[in-house]
Amino acid sequence: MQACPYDALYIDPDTHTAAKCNYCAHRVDIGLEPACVNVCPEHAIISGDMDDPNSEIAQLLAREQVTVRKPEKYTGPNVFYINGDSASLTPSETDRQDQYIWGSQNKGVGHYARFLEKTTDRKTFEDMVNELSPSSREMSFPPINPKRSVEVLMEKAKAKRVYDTPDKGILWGWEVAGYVLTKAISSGVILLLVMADLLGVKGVTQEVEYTTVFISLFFLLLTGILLVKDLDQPKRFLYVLLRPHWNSWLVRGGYSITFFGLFVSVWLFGLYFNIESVVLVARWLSVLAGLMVAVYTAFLFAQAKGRDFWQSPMLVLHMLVHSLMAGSAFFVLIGLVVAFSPSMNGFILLILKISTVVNVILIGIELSVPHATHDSKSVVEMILKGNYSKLFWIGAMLLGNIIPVLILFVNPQWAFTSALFVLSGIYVTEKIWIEAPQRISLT
Amino acid sequence: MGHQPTFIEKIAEKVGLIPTLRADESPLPSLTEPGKLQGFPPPEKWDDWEEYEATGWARKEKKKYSIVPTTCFNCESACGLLAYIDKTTGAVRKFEGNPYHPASRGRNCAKGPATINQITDPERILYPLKRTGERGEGKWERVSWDNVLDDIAGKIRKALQEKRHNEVAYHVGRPGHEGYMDRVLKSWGIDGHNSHTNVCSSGARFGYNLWHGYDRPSPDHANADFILLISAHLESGHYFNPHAQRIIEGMMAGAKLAVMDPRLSNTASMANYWMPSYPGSEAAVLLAMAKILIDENLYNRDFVENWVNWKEYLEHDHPGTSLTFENFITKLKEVYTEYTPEFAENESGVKAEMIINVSREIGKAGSRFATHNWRAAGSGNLGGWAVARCLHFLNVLTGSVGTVGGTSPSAWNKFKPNFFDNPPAQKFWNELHFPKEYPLAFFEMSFLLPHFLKEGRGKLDVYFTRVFNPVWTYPDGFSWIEALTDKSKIGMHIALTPTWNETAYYADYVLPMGHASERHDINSYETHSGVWIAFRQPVLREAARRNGKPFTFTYEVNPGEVWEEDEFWIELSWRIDPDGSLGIRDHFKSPYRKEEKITVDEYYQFILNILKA
Ligand code: SF4
Repeated sequence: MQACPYDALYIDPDTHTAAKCNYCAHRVDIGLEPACVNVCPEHAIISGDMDDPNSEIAQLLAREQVTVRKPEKYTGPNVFYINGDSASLTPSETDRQDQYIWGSQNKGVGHYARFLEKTTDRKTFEDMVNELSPSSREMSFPPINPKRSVEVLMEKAKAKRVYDTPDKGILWGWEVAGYVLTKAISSGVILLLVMADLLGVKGVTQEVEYTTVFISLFFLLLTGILLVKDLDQPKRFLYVLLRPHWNSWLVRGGYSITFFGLFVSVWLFGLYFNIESVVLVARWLSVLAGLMVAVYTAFLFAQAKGRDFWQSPMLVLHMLVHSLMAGSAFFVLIGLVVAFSPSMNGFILLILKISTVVNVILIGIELSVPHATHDSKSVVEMILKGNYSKLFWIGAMLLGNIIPVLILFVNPQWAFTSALFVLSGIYVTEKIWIEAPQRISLT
Repeated sequence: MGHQPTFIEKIAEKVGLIPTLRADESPLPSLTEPGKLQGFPPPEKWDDWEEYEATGWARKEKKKYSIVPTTCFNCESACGLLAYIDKTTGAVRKFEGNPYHPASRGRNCAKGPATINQITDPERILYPLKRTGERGEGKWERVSWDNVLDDIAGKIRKALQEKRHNEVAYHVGRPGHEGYMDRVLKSWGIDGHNSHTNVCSSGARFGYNLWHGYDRPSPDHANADFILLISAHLESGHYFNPHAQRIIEGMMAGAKLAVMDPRLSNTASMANYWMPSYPGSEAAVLLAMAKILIDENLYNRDFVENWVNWKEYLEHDHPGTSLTFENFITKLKEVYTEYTPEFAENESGVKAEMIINVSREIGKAGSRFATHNWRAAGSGNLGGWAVARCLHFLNVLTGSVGTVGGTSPSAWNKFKPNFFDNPPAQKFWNELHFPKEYPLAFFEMSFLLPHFLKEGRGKLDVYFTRVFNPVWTYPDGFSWIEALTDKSKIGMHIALTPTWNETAYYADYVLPMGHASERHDINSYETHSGVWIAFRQPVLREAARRNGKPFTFTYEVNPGEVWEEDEFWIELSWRIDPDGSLGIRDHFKSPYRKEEKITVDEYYQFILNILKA
């Protein structure tokens, strides 16, 4: 649903699966026009064969000046607007309105519909009405001045949004932020372990290896659970894997996770039965798959063409660094129960320090370089100064990065607090990164 | 083409992990060649139509239908509908437009297909109900139609025998029913018709009536050069859907649109000229436009000279003036001196400049000038009738009355059915409807009914309300409750309605009547330049006929025991006069079978046979 830059997909309230207009395939198949074309009293919607020069649509396209929505997304749109008014096609040209009943449909649709369904039995009718009524949200009506109103309307009016598509709310919520964290831990610990071994850090014992593999598998399992839980129709997870569209990073990611799990399990098998060659091969395969697991989300987000802010090329680094932060931070926590060798300990702390500092720099760059589109600028604004600023500055930056680094420098004894802060910092950062762009209207 | 499953997918389908998306083994044939599409299944396939399910398309689910045409009744336009009757369940599954309907041409507003929601409404009334507690107490029991009909018929018979004709009344909201009910009431010999019109369209209709005795306008929007609308006729008002189609057609062909509407309605937003006048000031703007047409010589001299009674005007208002057309114009200019565009701007808030521009456009359009006012300013203001009257004056001045692209009297585009039998006019005058102190009342003074009853001007022994809900829709609903709960004022209240409403709540009998697709009617309205008729029919009755299923009355095929009023009135009238002594039965005898009661089929057969001839 995030992939559509037009926000055309929705969750069908009956089937709980994603749905969209399919050009009335069931009608077109038997030679009938799409229903919207057929029913429109004013013949304002025209469909047909654009390749047939005699068709009405081909002639209109040849004769009229037409616009399409968001050509810059390279979706090859085939919906053309004659005299398309840019204020009604571009959401950023108008503001959200609370005063109009059809301009503020932010309850009772999409995820909210489920929320409502769930709450109907529990709550009283009055509660439900209150929840749905626009007055329950902050509203401000401009004072009415009847004398001026006509003149204002006629002369000074700027386009107002009086009708809006239903706000689908935050489709990717805490589950997605959570799964980014769990998979960062799962892949991070593996990457870190192999790095330590390669760099000749002393203390990569069998015990450490076992622990790492178990932790990785545990968090991978959590990742899987969160991923499936995030779906409105959990069984559809099977479709991702079993009816694969190879271009989709959802599929590629799903398979990365699956293979990562497989390789790490083989590794475990090798360890248990002490088959060195198996361990060796499984290790390297795990590293490769682990890297994919760590960063594929960046490509997945980039495929969400609707969300300009996610198009940043920095996102790959951002994910990789989060993985190293999460891995090292989690090792610090394990250190409370498993005794690491001093050099292993030092290595872990070093990686935690470096990755956290790099993270701050990356975020700094990401939020300060000029963003090309209006939508991503608005997101940056929201993070730095808007709705998300408190969460960002205090939750993500101060508590999640700066304080932990300070602690590591000042008193490494307290490293475990620093690790806890870093882990929650990753979650908060991801939450902001995932949520904020979804607050932008696409249509 | 189509989906090429991967190896993984094939295996998963085989094992049953995911549902199999089989190729369609026997795909439905396409109506058209590739690349071409059409709007509707062709009529020759209506009896036996098969299509894919909208939500089951991926699984290639199919469904068989019997398609039966009828007309919508969610406003007066009576657009065409096609009922899709599921061949397996025998129930109506959906409604679509009917491409052969001359006014709607297959295109409906959202309320048309939504008829399905009314039919399947879980709260609808399916059986006749009789009050068991006090009026308004909300206690009911199911009774049989036989008992209901006998009870009501007996009461009416008694009233007629005792010459209490004025105590029987039928009060209607929107019945459809072209002329049907007038015939029934006349056959009973009563002045029993009451309407809702005086809180609705009568203001504007009075304004039109003063011009030419026809109380409805029929604008030919499609062929107009300039269109002037009072209020938002693209999305509301009478015939808005067929009108909207023609307004846009006209505009696509180059017509310009001016809209006088205080709101930035959807219509106003499509207009070339939006004139947001202060409510109640519309007439001032129209007078200023008339002045410009007269002053700038933009009127149609031929038309005005031939069709306006200017000589009588001069004789009456300006005795001594010689009867020349020039003198008439001079006098007219004098009368209109004060209605300057500036005056109108001051009254209405619409800029004088815009008023001038619009007037000149009207002058330019000449006989291709279409206008419309129905309720809006005409009913919302004291003296609102003057709005339609002033508006039509612009048509008169431009000579755009009865022209291509102009505005015709309604009757030019409306068919009136001939009945098999025409009872004589009633010999009673019911002062509860037309009180003598309101001699100019254009329609029944319906909003005064409860007050008259309270004053003791009369009483109603049998009072029918038919799709009429004054408790909710009239300004003083509580006065209606007071009257409706007083049994000494209203002896028996029968509510004929498809659904519950606030007025039915105070009835003695609540009798379920069919929705659009559950009844008969013949429709003809002035939706555009052209006369048409459409036939409304109970679609399940037609389906039963196609299947050879036996039935006598529509209620036998309708859901529950929902009657249609056509049959109800025949049956009731027959029972009012069991021995024929009241002479009522004579008006309900079949024109085809001697001395037998007419059937609803015969009733329409007669009307349609004449048409054929
Ligand atoms: S405009 Fe037509 S479809 Fe819409 S309610 Fe009226 S009759 Fe029905």
